[in-house]
Amino acid sequence: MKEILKSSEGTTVVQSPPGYEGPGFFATSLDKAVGLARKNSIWPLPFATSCCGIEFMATMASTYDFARFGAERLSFSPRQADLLMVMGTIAKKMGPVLRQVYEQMAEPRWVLSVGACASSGGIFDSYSVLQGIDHIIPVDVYVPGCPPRPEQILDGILNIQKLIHSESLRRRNSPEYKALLSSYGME
Amino acid sequence: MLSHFHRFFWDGNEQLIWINSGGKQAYIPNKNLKFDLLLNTMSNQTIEYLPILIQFLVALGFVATTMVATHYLGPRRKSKIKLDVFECGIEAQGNARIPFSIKYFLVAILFVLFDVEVIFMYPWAVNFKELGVQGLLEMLFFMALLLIGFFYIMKKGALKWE
Repeated sequence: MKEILKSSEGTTVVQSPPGYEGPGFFATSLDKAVGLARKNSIWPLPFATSCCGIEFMATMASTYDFARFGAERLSFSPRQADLLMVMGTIAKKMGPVLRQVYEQMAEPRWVLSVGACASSGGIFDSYSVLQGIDHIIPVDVYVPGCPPRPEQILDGILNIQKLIHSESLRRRNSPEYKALLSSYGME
Repeated sequence: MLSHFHRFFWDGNEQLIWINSGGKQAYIPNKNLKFDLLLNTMSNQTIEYLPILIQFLVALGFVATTMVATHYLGPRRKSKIKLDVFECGIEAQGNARIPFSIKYFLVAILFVLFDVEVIFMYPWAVNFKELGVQGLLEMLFFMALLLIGFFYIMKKGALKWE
């Protein structure tokens, strides 16, 4: 398996998960195989509302090339998305929209909060701005910065990948996860 | 296709002779009786198509396995909001199944027609010099045919929106 996953340049792109290897076969646990597949084929939904969205565009472009992490295909419908990337100021009026987009995503789903505004409201300590999207939806990884550089966004993605890779297959049906959702008033 | 480069022969006794592209012979020993019986009943002609059958079965099996596996592996959460219509996060208003004007259909079909015409022009443009005057005349004839059709639909009023 390690040989198969080597790229044309000869460098290993994806490390095979720990498992039992012999001549002509490789065995690992289902969790690890599924985690490996999910981690390297994220379909992000970019929810870009302001300047962090511009940084995200730079992240997608050739210099930083977000696609090399397996996230080639952006999904603009929550139905096919794994990862909700919230980038920018979320006004309180936008809150229900963001919440509905999150709720309409298929499980398993992850949320990346990019920038100070999405994470905490940032400089907009104002009556109209949501003071962090974690008031309405659960967030997995926060990326600081105002706006963060593309490297920081990529760092956030790598952390999301770590979470995806190590997630148990049972997590989404666990009582803890259900409790987390119900604390946000979701089913 | 495998049969172009490799040949399988059944020598009637115990071994399957496999001749590869280099002309070398290899003997596949007789181990699996059921497979041999299957080969025995098939003529040489049929055996050559066996890889295609196997490929077809693999393709079918892959699709079936993946579809069943995703149903068992993927977590599911069916709340009312999840199953609601997606309208960019805004509450959906009204029914999506309303009658649309037939004109959309007409314009779409006409678009496809002339779209295909343009697609035909690409290879002609690439080989413009090789095809020469004859190619140009043929293309003009082709375009003239479609232009006649275009004027016909204009006269019929198919492009009038009001």
